[in-house]
Amino acid sequence: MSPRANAVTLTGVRAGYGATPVLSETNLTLASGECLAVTGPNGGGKSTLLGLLVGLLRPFTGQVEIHGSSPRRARGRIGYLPQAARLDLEFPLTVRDLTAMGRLRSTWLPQRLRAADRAAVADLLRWVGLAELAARPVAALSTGQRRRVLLARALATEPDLLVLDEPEAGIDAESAERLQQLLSSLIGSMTVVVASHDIEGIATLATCGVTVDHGLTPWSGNGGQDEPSRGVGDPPDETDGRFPEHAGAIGGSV
Amino acid sequence: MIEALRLEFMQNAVTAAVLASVVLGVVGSLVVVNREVLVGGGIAHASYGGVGLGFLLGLDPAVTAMLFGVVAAVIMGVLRRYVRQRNDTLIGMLWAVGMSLGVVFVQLTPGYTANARSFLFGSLLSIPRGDLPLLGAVAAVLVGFVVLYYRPLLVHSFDRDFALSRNLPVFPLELVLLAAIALAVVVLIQLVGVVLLIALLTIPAATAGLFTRTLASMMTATVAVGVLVTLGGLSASYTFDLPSGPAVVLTACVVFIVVRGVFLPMRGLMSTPLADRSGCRSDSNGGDPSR
Repeated sequence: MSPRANAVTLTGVRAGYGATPVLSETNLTLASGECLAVTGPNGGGKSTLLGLLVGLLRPFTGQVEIHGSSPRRARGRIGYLPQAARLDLEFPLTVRDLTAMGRLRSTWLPQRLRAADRAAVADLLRWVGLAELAARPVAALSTGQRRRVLLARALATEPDLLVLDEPEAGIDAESAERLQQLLSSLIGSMTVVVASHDIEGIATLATCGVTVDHGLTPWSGNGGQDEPSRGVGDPPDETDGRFPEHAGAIGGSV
Repeated sequence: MIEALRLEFMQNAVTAAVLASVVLGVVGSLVVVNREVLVGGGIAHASYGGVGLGFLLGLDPAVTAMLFGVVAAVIMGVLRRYVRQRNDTLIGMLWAVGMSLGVVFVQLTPGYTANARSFLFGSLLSIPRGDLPLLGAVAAVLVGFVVLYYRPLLVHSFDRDFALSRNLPVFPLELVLLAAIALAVVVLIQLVGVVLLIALLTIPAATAGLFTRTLASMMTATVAVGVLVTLGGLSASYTFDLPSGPAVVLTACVVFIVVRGVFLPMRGLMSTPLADRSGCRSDSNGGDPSR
């Protein structure tokens, strides 16, 4: 069996904000099709790690590669779901328009939505169960619904790598379960990196995981299988689940 | 008032008011949703430096104000990106420096410069016919730009990080948006002047935002609100012999308060899921009617 290509590679990355490093000497390799859970304390560097993957942050030192290219070059292949807290919920915007943002192409030229774009948006809204609310203002949705629209927008980009920043934040258990069902149906069809405080939920979804606290400590996920996942923070075990394929490549130092 | 429309100065004022409303629609809406109201005020006041320069050099103050405003906008955009300084500090500095330069240039201008005051508080009833083609050209450029780049502007305005993650030209869009504000300033400065411009750039768009669901409909509604408040203010100015700039701004305030009173309770009811009203919230913003 030939080894899968790497979707994400971080080599000796040191990164942060201003002159203050949040991550130091961080190494990470993630194979295509894996689902990486990113957990850790606030301020530990979860969003920094995700910002590096999406290309919103540049490392002080080291290298970040997405499918062998820089994140900036690979942006067209990355779907991104930001933290909801950063968005202006009073913005005059319908569910359909928000989802259609994912269909924008990277160009300086003016662009309009084509019929294929509209069809893709309708399909995605149906998939996340919000087709009937397409014309509704985003401000009128519940938090759980908003997260699903943002997931639809991220998927509208037709990504190879899906980066989700705390998708379950602020939503009730029922909505979180529904979101998790949607995410679990994506596992295997694309590479997924998801930062979360919901350690139990994310552990059942992920095929591997890291705890981020100024560096990376690997742990293994469950990948939706029946066996219970290993505890977060457990030392990496190169023979457990699907993790061994790249376990040796995940690591970090504080 | 109808009879007054036969007078050339009144025809000029009405034409300028309609053109200004179009500008308000596209730029004012972008200013409000991008939360760049303070930037709008900063550019407006900085452009007074151009007014003073126009008087000093014997050039058309409207044209020099536009050029000065665009340069100030680009400087602001570059400083915000490359200089680690608080945003409001940079805006405040540009605001004060532009005004100071304007006052100094006017002071240095030999001869009678009473017209400079009309740029501070506006003089809708004294707009010369010769200025209308410039106002029309600016309005056409701004509308054309927004029509062509509506979708990138929408994404950039709502979620800058997502726009970056899609590799959209975010920094050029920011610069063009600031330049658009500067162009809008040159139109609005003639109506209400530098001092009151921030109100006209904001209030009609904020009024339209109370009852619209999309940015495009907000822009269209802002044009309508703009026509209502500028012509209403013009009418009040003519009828009661009031200064036109303050009359327009006060009319805009009254319209905002009335529309808010009418629409906001209704909007609150319409947009609140039933579960919220019964006190049964399923998460932080209500239930999930689609389930």
